[in-house]
Amino acid sequence: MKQSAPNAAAAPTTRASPPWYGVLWLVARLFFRLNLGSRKILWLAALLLVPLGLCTWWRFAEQGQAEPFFVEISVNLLLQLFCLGLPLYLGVSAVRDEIEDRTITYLLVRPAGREAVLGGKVVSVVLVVSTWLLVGEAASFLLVVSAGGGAALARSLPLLLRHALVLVAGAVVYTGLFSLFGLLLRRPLLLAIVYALGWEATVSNLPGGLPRLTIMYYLKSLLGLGPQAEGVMSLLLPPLAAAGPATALAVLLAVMAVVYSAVFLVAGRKEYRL
Amino acid sequence: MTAFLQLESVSKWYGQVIALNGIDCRSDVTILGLLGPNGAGKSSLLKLLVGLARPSRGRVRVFGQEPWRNRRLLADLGYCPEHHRLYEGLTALQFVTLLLQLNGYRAAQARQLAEAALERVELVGKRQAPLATLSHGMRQRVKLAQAVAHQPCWLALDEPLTGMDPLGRSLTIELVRQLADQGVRVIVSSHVLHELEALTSDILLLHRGQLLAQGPVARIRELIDEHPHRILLKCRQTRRLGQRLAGYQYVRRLEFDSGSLVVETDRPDEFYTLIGELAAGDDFVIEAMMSLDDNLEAVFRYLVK
Repeated sequence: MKQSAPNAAAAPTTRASPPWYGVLWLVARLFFRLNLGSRKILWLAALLLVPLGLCTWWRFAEQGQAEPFFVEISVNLLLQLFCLGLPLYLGVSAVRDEIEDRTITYLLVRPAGREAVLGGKVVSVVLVVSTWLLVGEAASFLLVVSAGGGAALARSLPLLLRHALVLVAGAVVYTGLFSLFGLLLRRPLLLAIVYALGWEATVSNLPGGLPRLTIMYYLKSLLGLGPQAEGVMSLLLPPLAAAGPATALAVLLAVMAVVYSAVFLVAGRKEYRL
Repeated sequence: MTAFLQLESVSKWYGQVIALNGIDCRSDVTILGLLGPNGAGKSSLLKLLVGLARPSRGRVRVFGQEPWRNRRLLADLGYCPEHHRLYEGLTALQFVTLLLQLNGYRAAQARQLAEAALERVELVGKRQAPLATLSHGMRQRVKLAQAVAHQPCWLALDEPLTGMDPLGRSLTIELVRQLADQGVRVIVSSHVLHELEALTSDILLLHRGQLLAQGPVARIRELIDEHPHRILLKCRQTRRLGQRLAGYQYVRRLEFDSGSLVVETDRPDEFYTLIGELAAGDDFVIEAMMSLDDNLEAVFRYLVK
């Protein structure tokens, strides 16, 4: 046995706890890196082939104008499917997996606050989801819009930025929400799927006022798009117009504030059976 | 004066399952052993002490402070959990460094301390190895390294010797003793009496969530010695051997089985001497002898009768 360094006294000292923001960023960075090195990333990389495949097909088929097709891909595929699906897949398990693995014990017995540690894990998922969405968005944009040459790319850049911001906002709010499901419930997946498919994906496209109660409605409103109501129901109830950008932004910020406050509150106070 | 550890009517239950039931104790020893069979409540008690769980009833105090969400107390704690899960994607050095950073150390200093801790557990050669590639015993040592790296004032070690190779065991025992000599308070759990004996003479004896006894290991040994021992003898002449043993006062009972004889005695030392003498003679060929009561389960069965 090697000689030990001088050790502590018998009574506790008053060592400084690390600041919460430092802990949050440290944990977020670490798990972002670990996620990038995990098997999940292979699945995520394979999923990128869906939008990229469609864009490549369009590029070779050259059917119609570039910008409307890019908007179709961005809204119908990246926003309505992946911006909802990826946070569901990764957010629910952000903390739950570690509780089941019990690796979380190493983090929770440190003087770093529980809120910051578990919050950092949620932020790491936000980073993974946002990165995936942004890569998909940028690659789709390049594949589709570059068909019109450099001038078309420059002209459409504000469109790309606007869509990218909406996707990041969606990643933030949905990841927070699904992580909260994972923190609160013992078996969160079923409820999260019901919420994602049954509420966000379906109700946000119904005619009438109900879409106002979905997050997706406000995300799409930031792009100036209302519910895509079709079928018999739309004959009975008029489709809802898109909310104004200021209203949409305010509602999304309020939802984020509520969701993340709840995430930190639950993370800090809940006792896990480890 | 504030005791290191104070438990007042502490109970902990998970739904219908009672993990700890009305534990009262106070301890100020340097190394405290938690002894009990699997499911006795040792890990539950340790989780209460390190703030991973809250008591359902009663009060837990460590250095006079409540551990739940107590960041000051956690800053001085080194905890080695029972489970063997680690962040498999990290190397041993990255793992220990990360946890040190969560203790407030800057990256460079954390790395330095992590290197030193891995050296203390003689894993410095494996510091860059991914945790997923390490053997069971090495993972135990990584767990120990992360617990001691920040030079804590108190250590909580949950079954730290389980699955360790002989080298790892002696390293761990020596390290714990060294730390205790430097004034670090240690709480260590085990379901094997002789493991704890190597570390401490003061134990809490737990069984089914209840505190059966608190005190020196010698007292537990006495309890073992006081209750009748059952010894299995493998011998070709079991009938004849039985007849011979039946003549001794301290042989309380004999049970015959095919090729073996189970003897119950209340004076094991004298009995072992007698068997030694008989084996040395030409009358009996004793092929094997084992105590059926050396395991703790037997002691617990006796103590909770």
